[in-house]
Amino acid sequence: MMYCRFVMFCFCLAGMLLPVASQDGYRQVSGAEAEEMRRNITAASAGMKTLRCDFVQTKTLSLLSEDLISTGFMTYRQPDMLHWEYVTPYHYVFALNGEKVIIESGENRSEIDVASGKLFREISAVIVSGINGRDIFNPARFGSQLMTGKDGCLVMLTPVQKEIRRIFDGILLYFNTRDYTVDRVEIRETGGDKTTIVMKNKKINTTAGNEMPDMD
Amino acid sequence: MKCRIWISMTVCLLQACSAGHAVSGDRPLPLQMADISATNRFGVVITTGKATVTGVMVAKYIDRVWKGALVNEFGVKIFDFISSPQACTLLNVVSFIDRRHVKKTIAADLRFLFEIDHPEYPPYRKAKRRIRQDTLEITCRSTTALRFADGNIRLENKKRGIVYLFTPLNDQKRNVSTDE
Repeated sequence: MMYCRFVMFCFCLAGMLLPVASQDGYRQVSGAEAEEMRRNITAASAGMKTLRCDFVQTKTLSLLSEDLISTGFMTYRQPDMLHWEYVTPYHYVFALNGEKVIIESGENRSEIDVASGKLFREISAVIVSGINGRDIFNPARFGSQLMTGKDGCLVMLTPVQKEIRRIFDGILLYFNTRDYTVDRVEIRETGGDKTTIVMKNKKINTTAGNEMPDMD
Repeated sequence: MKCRIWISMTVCLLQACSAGHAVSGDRPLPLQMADISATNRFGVVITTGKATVTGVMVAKYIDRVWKGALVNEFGVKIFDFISSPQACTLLNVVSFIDRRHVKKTIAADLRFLFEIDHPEYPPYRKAKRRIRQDTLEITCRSTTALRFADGNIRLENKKRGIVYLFTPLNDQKRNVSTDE
């Protein structure tokens, strides 16, 4: 009788834990499989000098009860130059080069030094890591959980730093298994909002970088 | 007797109508921060002595209050806000500005911007409004809002040393005029 109760308890516990371990048809991997996945992602990100792609960004704002969809393109150049340009529904450019930020909105152009904004730099670093896959397995920055599914693999990141953890609940990176680059980034915030960035038409190590503004 | 009652009621009604008309006719130069029938988007730069915050603000008029959010360029939330003529509250504030005096200052400044055209907002009557070289200037105590001819809005809180620049994003950009 006692044994039956124990078995039933184990089944209930497994039932409760299973949805946590799985994500949209992905199953958690470990051991050699996880190591191989980690190696493939690290190699692909190390070889990525430039990246250019189109993106569709969907921001779910709980307060306004609506999804805001924006499209545009982005260019990344090693080590930390990022050109992020919204095309619809409005035109807006955000360019990051180390500690300098350029914002172009219509005819306005502002150059901002973000050297004093430690948290801003951290947020940008998290996003850039999400785009290029670099440094995501650094235990000082993220806790990571690796999963695999029929559409590719998924890395679930949990920020380690206390201040970053207060902003992000988690960052989900969906990699394809053709070239182990990120196809989709899902940013889950502590307040319940979510941002999904889907990257399309990726061009890796081509002449990307032409859009980079002169920041000297 | 009945006739007198009807006449006095009509006179009262006409007086009430004319009083209402006087208020709207006396309406000062409006800032026109946002459109109540649309989802408004602005590029935002907030500069203090120590730091600069940039992002995109989304604001919508829902249930007789302004609800909105400031998110950074990648969509990460900086804060939500709810503003009415009576109060403005910041919600879900990111840790680096989650300090009582900072939240209070930003809330007061946003309330100024979104409610300055509302007759129930106390500074509505007190504020000094004038046009200088195509720029509308609205000042109340240490706060000054400027609406430029291109639609950009700048608010300076001199007491706290904060400057906000709002640029209506392209699809929202209205051809506002300073002629009233």
